[in-house]
This record gives sequence, structure tokens and C-alpha cells, in this order.
Amino acid sequence: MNKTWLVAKETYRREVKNWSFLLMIFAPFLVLLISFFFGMSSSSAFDSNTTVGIVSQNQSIVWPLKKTEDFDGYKNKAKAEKAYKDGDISGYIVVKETSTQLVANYYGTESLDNDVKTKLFRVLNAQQQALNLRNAKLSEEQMQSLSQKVKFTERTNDKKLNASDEKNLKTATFWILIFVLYFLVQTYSTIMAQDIASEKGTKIMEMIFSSMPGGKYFDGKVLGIFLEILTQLLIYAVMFSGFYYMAPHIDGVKDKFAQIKPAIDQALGQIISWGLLFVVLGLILYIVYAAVCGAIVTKAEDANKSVQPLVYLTLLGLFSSMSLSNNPDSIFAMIMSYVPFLSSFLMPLRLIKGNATGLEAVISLIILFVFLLGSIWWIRKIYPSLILQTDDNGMWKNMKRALQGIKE
Amino acid sequence: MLQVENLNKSFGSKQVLFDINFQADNGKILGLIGKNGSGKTTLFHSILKFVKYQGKIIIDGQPFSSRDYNSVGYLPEERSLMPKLTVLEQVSFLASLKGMKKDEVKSDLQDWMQKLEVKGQITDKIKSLSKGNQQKIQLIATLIHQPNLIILDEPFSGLDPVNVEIIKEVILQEKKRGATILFSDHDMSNVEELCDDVVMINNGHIVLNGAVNDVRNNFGLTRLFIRTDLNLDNVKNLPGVENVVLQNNGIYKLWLTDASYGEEIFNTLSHGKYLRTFDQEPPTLDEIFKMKAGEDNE
Ligand SMILES: Nc1ncnc2c1ncn2[C@@H]1O[C@H](COP(=O)(O)OP(=O)(O)O)[C@@H](O)[C@H]1O
Ligand SMILES: [Mg+2]
Repeated sequence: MNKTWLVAKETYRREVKNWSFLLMIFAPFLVLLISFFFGMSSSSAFDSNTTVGIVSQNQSIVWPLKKTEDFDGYKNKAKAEKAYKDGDISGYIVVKETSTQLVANYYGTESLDNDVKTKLFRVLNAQQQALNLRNAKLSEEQMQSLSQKVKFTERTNDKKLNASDEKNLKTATFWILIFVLYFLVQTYSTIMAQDIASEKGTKIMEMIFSSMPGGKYFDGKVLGIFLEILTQLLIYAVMFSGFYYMAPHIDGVKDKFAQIKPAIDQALGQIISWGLLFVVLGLILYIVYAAVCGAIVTKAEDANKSVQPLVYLTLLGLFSSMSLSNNPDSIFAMIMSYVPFLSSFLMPLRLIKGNATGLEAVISLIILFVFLLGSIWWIRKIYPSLILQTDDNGMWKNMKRALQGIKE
Repeated sequence: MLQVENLNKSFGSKQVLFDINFQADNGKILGLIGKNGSGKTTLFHSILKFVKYQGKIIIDGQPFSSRDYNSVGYLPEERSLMPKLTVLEQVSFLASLKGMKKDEVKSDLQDWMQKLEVKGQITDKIKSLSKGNQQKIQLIATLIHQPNLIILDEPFSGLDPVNVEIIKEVILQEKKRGATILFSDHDMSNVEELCDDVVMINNGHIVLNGAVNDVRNNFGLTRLFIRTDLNLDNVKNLPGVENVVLQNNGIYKLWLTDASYGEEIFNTLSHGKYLRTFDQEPPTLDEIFKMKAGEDNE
């Protein structure tokens, strides 16, 4: 069997078999359910001292962590500290939540296990994203365009959409795509980087590189993570189609659904668009660079830090498309709509606003595509030397050494 | 068979390997000896094409190519596996990258674990095994696909004497199978015991290269071990003696300027007397290496 495929399969298996994958998929639904049903769940009694205490008022952080069996929930710091002194837990984490940021502090004698850290980061990241979105404070127009579709649905029975409705619908679909891109990059850039960094940490990579070229291994890793993304999207798609086909048969939902169904159909029809192409290529680009970020660091816990530049780029893309949506013919919008990483956000916007022609879109797409191919070519080349730099010299020194390593 | 010709390797402006030439034959064990930082690992990385280099490295008549991936086995210097996988999962994954089938791996793995006396089941998580057993599992993953070229970077480091013996036994079996085996070490005793050939490397230069026996014998029988009633000063005054120490076991160790003085000394000492110990030897590899490394530093 092809070795790239073996690596993809192994990566996929390890990621998806993980409890945190299910968590990530169902977290949005769980959070709703949990805060509803178990508002007051009491701390459970795992007494092995390999568990770590978690102190937070937020059940959507505590509950999923407790589920992993590596964590124990505590109401406050004093209780956690007592349990720690009694030897019930090996340490504890206090999570404080401001309106914009989660701050987690760890107290303990030994540093946290990588595996435990990964679980913690996933849950905290999910929560932070929810916070970020809440803080993203969409402008009125964006809110409108997102809610347009609901307004539109209330007068459903006209068969034909008029031009302005169609434009609103396109805009709504665009925002949905953009947010999906933003979320997927946020989530999976960390996952990609952490997967690679933790593997690099085990130093098993030299054995693997004696079995296959590093470039092919890199392909396998990226492919594996993409399969994971597809799995998540597929699960959502199945859940959505379940709802779509069941809803007309459920009393109480039936009537409401009949009203919004035409809008959903229309919105789905708009998904296949320039925007989708930009989003998919953009996503691949972000994930590929996230792999590099993971390969640069020497410790798994630094992976989170190293993907920050990518996260900022998505934020830049997201916020520029928001703030420029009233003003898509500005020079900034124009420039950014050709720059890879940002063009996925800006070019679809300009298209919808009728500010860019199909030709411009094609040019931007070609730039993005060529940049992506060039990046992959370059990264495949330097990947093994990046991974084999395991001395703790900091990211830039590692990068420099890797570049020296590939020269003759 | 492995041939390395005029290999030079630099990292940026820093040259690490200088004009390396040697050959490793099928069914033989070659020991690569050098202090830390002398370039052993870099040499292995070059052979495996992890890094680019100048020069020629030829495996069975051709440069390293993708066909070689399945026929090399490499044990890296820094050892650890993926702690969360089971022994079977870990070895299967690595073996599958070497082209092995799942069911082959399972039965072979069990045989290997028995042979190496690994305490544990194939379904055990790697992290539940002791350090020594983890190292053995990694060695199994290196050898399970019966590679033709085996490269072991300091395979004995961190093992207790019992396990060192087990692993030596395995290396000798692989030699019998006909594999070309290279291993690096900074402890000479393992090399002296196991290897057919030795390459000594110091600061990136080969300082000595050849069959272990030839290398020692070329230095002549210039080490003399005797037990005598003479005191240290008198021993020092024997003909051709460069240096003397009295070892803890009561035996004098003499450095001779030339092997031929041995006979003269024997005649002087034995003259009608019983001589319990008289043993003339070439210098040990360790001594030779220290001499060579010293010369090179000057
Ligand atoms: N990627 C690299 N970039 C720069 N220098 C390196 C790199 N890898 C190894 N070196 C240097 O090469 C020399 C040889 O190292 P190494 O091959 O690991 O020696 P050994 O295995 O004999 O201990 C050392 O001085 C080391 O610092
Ligand atoms: Mg080394």
C-alpha cells in the first residue's frame, strides 16, 4: 500500500479515535444541553492521583474535561488546593474568565503530561473561540446580512426571487462560508500543529524518515487532518440532512420548517460558488502552514504559540472583510483580495458586491493556487530537516538550521 | 554492501565531516567509534539521506533510492516511541512503512519479544513498559522486516549488562543472516568484541579504518604485562621500556618502544626463574583511539 496513505490513515485513526474529537464535534450541542440539565453537577470521585484538578465556574469547560478521566472538577481554588495537599490530585488548574479571554494557571509539582495538556487546550480553545465570536460584535450590516435569510423566509411562497433578495442570500452564504473557514482554521491549525509537534517530541521521526521520504510523510499528515475535517463536516451534513428530511414529518416543527425551506434550498444552491473555491484553497493553505508551525517547535506545548501568526491572519481576513464590506472598492480591499491567506476572505466579498470581475477572481485564484503549490513544494523539501531539529534553540534558529541542512 | 566515497558534510559554514571513505561488507559488522560531537550521527543521517552532502554513498552498487527504504533498518540515537500506542500498533505502523503485512508483523513480533526477553504483551501500551523494554521494542521495529543494511546509533547506551548481552546476541544473529551492520559507540569494548571492521572518527576526520585484528596488530606487540619481584625502578630500567605502571592486580604494564624488546626482557627475567605472567599484546583499540585522537588534536 502507498506509504503516504498509510501515514494519512494512522494520523486520521489517532485523531478521530480520540475522545476529544467527539468532544469537538458535539461540544456546541453539549454545551447547550449541559448548561440546561446539569447546571449543578457535583464533582466526581476519581481518586487516583494521576488526575489533575480543574477549578472553573464554567461547566462547559469542567464537564468535558472530567469526561476524559484525567481531570477532577473543583468549585474553588481552596478546595482544589486541599485535594492537592491531600494527594488526591497531582496538581490543579485555575481557569479565570474575563469577558474577552480565558486565563488558565497550573499549580503542581510536576509539569503536565503532554496528553493531558492537549485535552486541556482543546477544550479551552473551543471555549475561547466561543468567547471570540461573542466579542466579534458584528456590524449592523453584517448582522443584517446574516439574519436576512430569516427575514426573507417569512414571505416564502413567492416562487421567484427578485434580484435584491438573491444578492442578500449570496451575502448571507458568503458570511457563512467565511465563518466556517475561520472556525476550521482556528480549530484545525492547532490540531495539525500539535499532532506534528507531539510526534516530533517522541523522536520516532528518524525511524519513519528511514522508511519513506519526508515530503511524502508530510503529504500523509496533511491528508490525515483533511480527512478529519471532512469527517466533521460530513457528520454535520448528515445531522443537517437528517433534520432536513425529518422536519416535514414532525408536528410542531413542520410548519416553521416549510416556511424556511425555500431559503435553505436557495442558500444551498449558492454554496457552490467562487467563494467556496477560495475557502477550500485557503483552508488547505492555512493547514499546510500550520504543519510547518508544528514542525518548528521542539515541545508540544509550544505548538499553540507557534500557530498564532496564522490565527492573526484569519482574524485580519475576517475583520477586514467585515469592515470593508461597506467599502469594497477601497485600495486595501483590492490589494488584500490578491494576497494569499487574505484573498479567501476579500475576493469573494468583492465579487458579491459586484466590485470585481470574473477575470479578477480568476487571477486571484491562480495566484492563490500557484502560491499554494509553491509552498507545498518548498515545505516538502525542508520538512525532514525541520523535524530532525530537536535541540531546544528556539524557533528561528531551528528554521535557520533546517535551511542549512537542505543545502549541499 | 555500503560504500562511502569522499563524503563531505557542512552545516552552513561549519564543516562536520571531512573526506570520509570506507566500506561495509555483507555479513560483517562495522563499528564506528568517535567521541561525542565527532560526526557519527551526521554520517548516519547522510547515509539515510536525511541531509544533503557532497560525495558518493553507494548501497549495493547504486546511490540510495526509494527502493532502499524497505531494506534498511535504523535505530536512532535518541530513543522513544509513541507512549499511547500498544506495542502491536506501534510496531505494525513502523513495519507497514517498511512494506510488511499486518498478520506477518503479529506473529514475528511475538517471536522477537520472546527472543529479546521483553516482559509484556503485544497489547500492552508502550508507556506501561519499562525503559529497557521500550528500547528493545524499538530495536525490534528496526529489525523485524529483515533489513539488508542495519544502522544502529549507540545501541547499547542506557542498557544494563544483561540486556547488552541479549542485544549483542541479536546483532550477531543478524550478521549470520548476511546483513551489513553498522553501529556507533563511544565505548571501545563492545566494538572490540563484536566488530569485524572498525572506523575511528575524530572531529569529522577518519583517523583509522580497517579490520579490527589488523588495526591492533599493525601497532605491534608493544604492550607487555609481567609479574615480577623487581621494583618499579628496576622494571623501568629494563631495555626498550618507555613507560611502566603497576596495576592493582600486581601486574606491571609496560609500554615498549619496539615489540622486539619483548624477547630480551623475557630472557632477562626468566633466566632460570619461574615467570608466572608474561604476556605481550598489541595495544587495545581504546589505547589506539586515544593515541589517534590525541595526534589529530595537535
Ligand atoms: N543540523 C545541524 N546544524 C548545525 N550543526 C549540526 C547539525 N547537526 C549536527 N551538527 C553538529 O555536527 C557535529 C557532529 O554532531 P553529531 O553527528 O551529532 O556527532 P556524534 O553523533 O558523533 O555525537 C556537532 O558539532 C554538531 O553540533
Ligand atoms: Mg550521535
